[in-house]
Amino acid sequence: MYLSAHRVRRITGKRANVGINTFLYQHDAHEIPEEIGKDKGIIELIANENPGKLIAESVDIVPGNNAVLSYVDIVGREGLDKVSIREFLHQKEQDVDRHFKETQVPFTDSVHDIVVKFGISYGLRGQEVREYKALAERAIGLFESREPPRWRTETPWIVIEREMCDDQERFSLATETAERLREIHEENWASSRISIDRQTQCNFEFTHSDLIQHVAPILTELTLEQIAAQGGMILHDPSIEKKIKWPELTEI
Amino acid sequence: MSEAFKRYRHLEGDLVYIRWQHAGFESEEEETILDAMEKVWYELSEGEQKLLYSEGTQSLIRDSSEKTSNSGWVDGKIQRIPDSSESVIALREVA
Repeated sequence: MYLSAHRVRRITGKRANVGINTFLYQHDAHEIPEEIGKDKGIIELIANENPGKLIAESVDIVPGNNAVLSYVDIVGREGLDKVSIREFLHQKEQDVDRHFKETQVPFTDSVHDIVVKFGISYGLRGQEVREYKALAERAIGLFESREPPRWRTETPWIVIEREMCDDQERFSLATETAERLREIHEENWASSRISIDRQTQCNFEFTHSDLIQHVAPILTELTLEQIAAQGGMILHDPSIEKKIKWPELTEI
Repeated sequence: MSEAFKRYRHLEGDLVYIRWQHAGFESEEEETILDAMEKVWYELSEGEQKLLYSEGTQSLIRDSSEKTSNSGWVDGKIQRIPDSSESVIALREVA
């Protein structure tokens, strides 16, 4: 079992969107050692190389290219109950406080069947425990509820069409999508089109991540989180009949 | 130390916490805290106000260096899809 909560931030224009994203992964019995507390390094291995099968998540900010300000990672054997996890995380609060009075390196600790790691970016000296508790609370909340987000479970209806011509890409809403959005916004609402040349796109994406994350809110007048709550969206290229589902970025 | 002073100190902590999260960008939460701090300020004694003045506001200054860079940790393009071994990808890699 790998439970992870991150404080994430996405800067859009003059605004910073901030939230906590939480993920719960499952492992087969052989992937987690019996005496997990004797090997704190297991948490690095699991988090970086073998997170396991994602079974639940709680997402405030759509994942992908967000700055991570802090994180709590918890690794344990399958079958742990929420009371054990809650008690363990609660017991570590004072240790976290002591730890960050001396150093800024991430805090790692364990008991025989759980390991926890907490890291925080520079700038919040003295309030590390507050952040630890906020993340731990969300992690436990997900462990109890285990609900998948709607973009994992629902079919998207927002379709953005992309035309590639010469050295430009043009983005616009599919007709049915524009009609449904008109019902959400107002009767005379109209979507725009966006054209961008390849070199500009390349330069832009180098700094600001995938263009679609910036194009979609302009075309739909919805935030990425609102789009995700509608099941995500489909990027459709009619000339080659290719459809890509966002936010997973998988071809469908 | 008065109750108002304790409350002011607590709000200072909240302000640092919110500004840290928002990388110095303005936010509704920050406005709410600043409004509350302004109200509490007038409940402080003259001595408490002098003490706060003497400390300066260095710890509450916006960290503009964060505006163009992040902490160095970035989340994945997208978390792995259930029942899939596909690795994370960018749009341009599938388009």
